[in-house]
Parts: sequence; C-alpha cells; structure tokens
Amino acid sequence: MKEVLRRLKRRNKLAYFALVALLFLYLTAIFADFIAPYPYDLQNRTMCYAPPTKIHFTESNGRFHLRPFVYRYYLKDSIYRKYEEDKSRPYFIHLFHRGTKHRVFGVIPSQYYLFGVEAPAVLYLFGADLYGRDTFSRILQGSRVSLSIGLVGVSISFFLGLLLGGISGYFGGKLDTFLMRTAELVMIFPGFYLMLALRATFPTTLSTIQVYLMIVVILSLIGWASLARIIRGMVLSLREEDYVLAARAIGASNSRIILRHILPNTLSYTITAATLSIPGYILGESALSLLGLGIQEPAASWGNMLAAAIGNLQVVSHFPWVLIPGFFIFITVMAFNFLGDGLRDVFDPRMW
Amino acid sequence: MAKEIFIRAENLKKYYSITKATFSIGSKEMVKAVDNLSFEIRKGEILGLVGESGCGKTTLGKLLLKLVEPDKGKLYYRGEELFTLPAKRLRRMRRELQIIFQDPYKSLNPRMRVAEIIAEPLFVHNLYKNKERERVKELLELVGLPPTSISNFPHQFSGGGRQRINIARALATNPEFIVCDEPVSNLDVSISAQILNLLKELRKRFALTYLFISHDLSVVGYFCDRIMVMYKGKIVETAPAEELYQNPSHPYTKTLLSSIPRIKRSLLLEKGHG
Repeated sequence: MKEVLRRLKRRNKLAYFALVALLFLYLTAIFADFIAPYPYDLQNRTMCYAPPTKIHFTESNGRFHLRPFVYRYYLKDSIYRKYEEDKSRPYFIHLFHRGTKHRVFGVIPSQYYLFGVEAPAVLYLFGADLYGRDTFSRILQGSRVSLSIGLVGVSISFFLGLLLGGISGYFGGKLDTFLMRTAELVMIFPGFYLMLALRATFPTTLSTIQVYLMIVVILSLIGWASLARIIRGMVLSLREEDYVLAARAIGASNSRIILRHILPNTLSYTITAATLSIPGYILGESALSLLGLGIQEPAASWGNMLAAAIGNLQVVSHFPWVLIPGFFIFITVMAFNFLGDGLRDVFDPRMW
Repeated sequence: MAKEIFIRAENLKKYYSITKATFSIGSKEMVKAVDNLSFEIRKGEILGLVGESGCGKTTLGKLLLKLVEPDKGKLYYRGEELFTLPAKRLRRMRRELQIIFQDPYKSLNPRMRVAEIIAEPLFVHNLYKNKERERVKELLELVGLPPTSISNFPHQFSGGGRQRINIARALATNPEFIVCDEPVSNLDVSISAQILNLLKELRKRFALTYLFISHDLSVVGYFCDRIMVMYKGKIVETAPAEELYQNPSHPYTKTLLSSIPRIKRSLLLEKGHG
C-alpha cells in the first residue's frame, strides 16, 4: 500500500493531488458536525438567501485586527433580498466557538464548533438558502451522504460482481450461463429508468436512513452486472494461465486459486473500475434527489441542495451561491476520475 | 533396469473437439491429442517424450497430473488409480507429483513474491510449519538463486532465473515425480545447459523420476534414459536413448533424427552417450 502511494506520487502528480483532495473531503465529512459552524437544519428566517459573509481584517475606520471579523448583515431591499453590512461593530471569528447545542456523530452532546461568530452576526461562508440555512454547513452535512453513497454502493456491487463473475468464469457450464443471462437481463434495461422503476417500488414516505439505504441498494443492483461480465471474461482467460495450472498441480483448493491467483490478477482493473464508477453513484444519488426521489428535506445531500437551487432560474441568477453543491459534485467526480486513471498504472507490479 | 514400476498408464485418451463454424451441424472434428496410450515409467528413470509441436506431448504431461480431465483410461501411481481418486485424496497426492512448465514467463503469478510462490505448496499441504522461510531459503540455495531474491517479483528475473524458481516450487514438497514440460525450450543454449545440469543433479540427490517432454531430440538424447516418440497422439516408438539414436525403427523417428543438425549428431555419437 505504501509502495502504491509512493509510485502514485512519483508517476502521476495529478492523481496524487486528487487523492489528497478526496481524503480531505472525506475527513471533513466525518467531522462535519464539528467543522460546520451551524447545524444543517438551523433556520434563520431573517437571513433568507443571504450572500456569503465577507471576512474582514480592517475596520471601516482603518483599524487593523489580526483576528478576522465579520459585520452583521441587515436586509436593505426586501424585494430583491439585498443585504448590507452594518459597519458599526465588528464580530470576531473565534476558534472553538460556543454555539447552539448539537450532537457530534449524532450521539455526543456538544456546544462547540470549530469556528463561529457571536449572534446576531452570522458566518455563512457560502451564503444561505431559501430558509436561511447555512449552505456551507449543509454542504458538509450533505457530503456525508454524497461521498459515502459511492463507497458503500461500489463495495456492494463489486462484491457481487467479483463473486458472481469469478464463480461464473471459473466453474463455467450451466451456472455460468445462468449467471451471465441474469446479468444481461439487468443490463438490457436503461439504467436510469430501471432506477426510477425500482424507486417506485418503495413507498414515498421513508426516513432519511431508509432512503439512503434504498438508493445504495438500487444503484448497486444496477451496477454489478457489467462488472460481473468483465470479471468473468478475465477469469476465463486467467484460469488457463500456467500459474493457475501450477497452483492446481500443487493441490491448491478452488477457493485458494480464485482468491490468491485469479482475483489478484484482476486487481489493477478492479481497483481502477471501482474508482471510476464511484462518480456514477454520486451522480445517481444526485439525479434521484434532483427529481425529488432521493434524500428528503430537511436532510441535506448535494443532489437535493442542487435540486432546491435549480427549481427556479431567477434564484440561480440572483443568488448564484446556491449552485456551490454542484461545484463540489464536480470536484469529487473529477478527483475520482483522475485517481482511477493514476491507479491503473500504479497497481501492476510489472510496471514498478 | 528392472526397477519397480512407478507410473502405469492404460489406454489414456483425450480428444479435443473443434467446431468449424458457429452454426454448422454435425461437422465436429476431433483432434486426437492423446490416443489410447499405454506405457510405464519406472522409479528413478528419466523418460523422454519427443514429438513435433501439436502432437499431444503437453496434453499427455498434464493428463499424468490430472490437470486436464481424461476421456478414458486408467493411470496407476504405485498401484493406486489416480483418475478415480476422491478430490481430497487427489489433492494430497499432488504433493508427490509436480510439474515444471515450458514458459517461465507465464508459469509464475506476477503478483506474488518469490517467497510466496515457493512457500505456497508448503501452506497448501501444511508442511514445514513455522519454518517455511527457512525451507524457501534452502530451496533457493538448492536451485542456485541468492537468498536475497526471496522478496523479489518474478519479472525481476531472467528466463533462467524464473525457471529456477519454478524448479524450487516443484521441489518444495519433496515430490517423487516431476513432469518437465519443455523446461528449456524457451531458454538460450548456455542457460538451458545450466538448467538441465541442475535437473540432473537434483534427480541424483533426491532420487526423482522425470517425464521429460521436448521437441528437441538432441536435448532428450543428452538427458534421458528412455525415449518415447509421439506422433499425432500415438506413441510410435519407445527405446533406450542410445538404441533409439543408433537404430531408429519407425520412419517418423528417422525423420526426427535426421532433422538434428549434423554436427550435433556426430558429436553425440562420438561421446557414445550415457
């Protein structure tokens, strides 16, 4: 593993950078409760569509502060929702700020946030949405859904794909025919409509967790088939390799041969394909949420935040910061693509 | 050479069918890779198996280890029938029967280090418990590889080095019989001589029995005690090496012999062989 990282760093800087960026995103997703300055569902009706809060170091009278501060915003034009800063008093940004009560990881009660400002001033790094909720906090909270759905979905569908593809290719015969025809049956349906059809079989009133699990299961049930077919093909050719015969001559069991000789040799493909297919899950969740079939309000995911944003074109043109979740989707998808590309070269010992 | 019979094959048969076109009816053609062969291998001997490429030599070698399913026939290994053995017994039996493959570039898993490759048979058969590493080093020394190569990958070796790894793996479980499937045909001359000498030395040291498959009569002549000549799935002639050279009875053997470059042949005869 260490070796792989070193090679990645040396051979493909972009992929390495993508990996670092992804690690950073996942880390912030894990500690979202603490890093986000507000709970994701905390509404502030006086701050609907507030713009990103400006951070200052110098007061309007020219006084310089080493500690960054913000001004309080007030609504100047209630028709176009224009806000203006009230420059009479600076509100300093504090680390380990004491704010509203919340629960870290949903269990540990805490009042502390990584940073924040005193009320009535607010710190909305990415502005606020229609209900006056902090977009930054919601993006962090939503990243938990959007980032984990890819990993969980890929692990399920790759488990299925490797297992069924491996068995199918190794043992062949009737089992192979049965498994592959099943996979083809899944593949003939256009993915998106299959997704909608499967979604329709579940009730519309589900809790966030249930919806989350449902989306993962739906996406993995669609995703395993193509992988299983490719793995089957690879196993089919690998099982004729001399080193597999040698392993059989040694007396190795079928499971040992599959696990130690055949599947590891599909690894460079598998890892690359897994990395490259994660964006599909993130986009799939976004697409479902965009249609209102995914994660439901007030819970946040990048998809449903974007859905709320693009419902009204005027909103987008006046309050462009509501599109920031889309930017995060873009970054994540790109990063996974670069990483997958880089891993392809690095995972093969013959290339070292 | 009235030694005990080690392996006895009776009416071994393996046909491969080739279908000519996808939708053709009844036009299946059979390739008779191994066609009703019966022969014996005695304990401690090196039996050579020669023939042109595609005549079924490799299939026969694999049949002897049940690496391909036979269509018909019986194979007795010290009186025990190998083909009807239950899977578990067969796997235990594999300890004693090993194979060295022709292509040293394909016969080693590119993802495993040398230590894992050579130790795998030990793990499979639970041998040398907790002393696997020492055993691997011992084997490396035996085949003439430095003990530092233990953590290398196969692609870091030359063809000869890889073939030595193959031999070490085959020897790991102290087998009695090794099928050498053209072990030197992919190596250049000087390396192949080294490998052949190594095989000869190991045979003496561990009282091994070899089935040595080759398409090169000059190599077989140097290496084997007895030679079987195979042609289109059948054995056309079996004779002690010397006799075969001096006195080939089958026309195909004669053709094979005449295909050896002359200078080599005269040298062989001069040496008197043996």
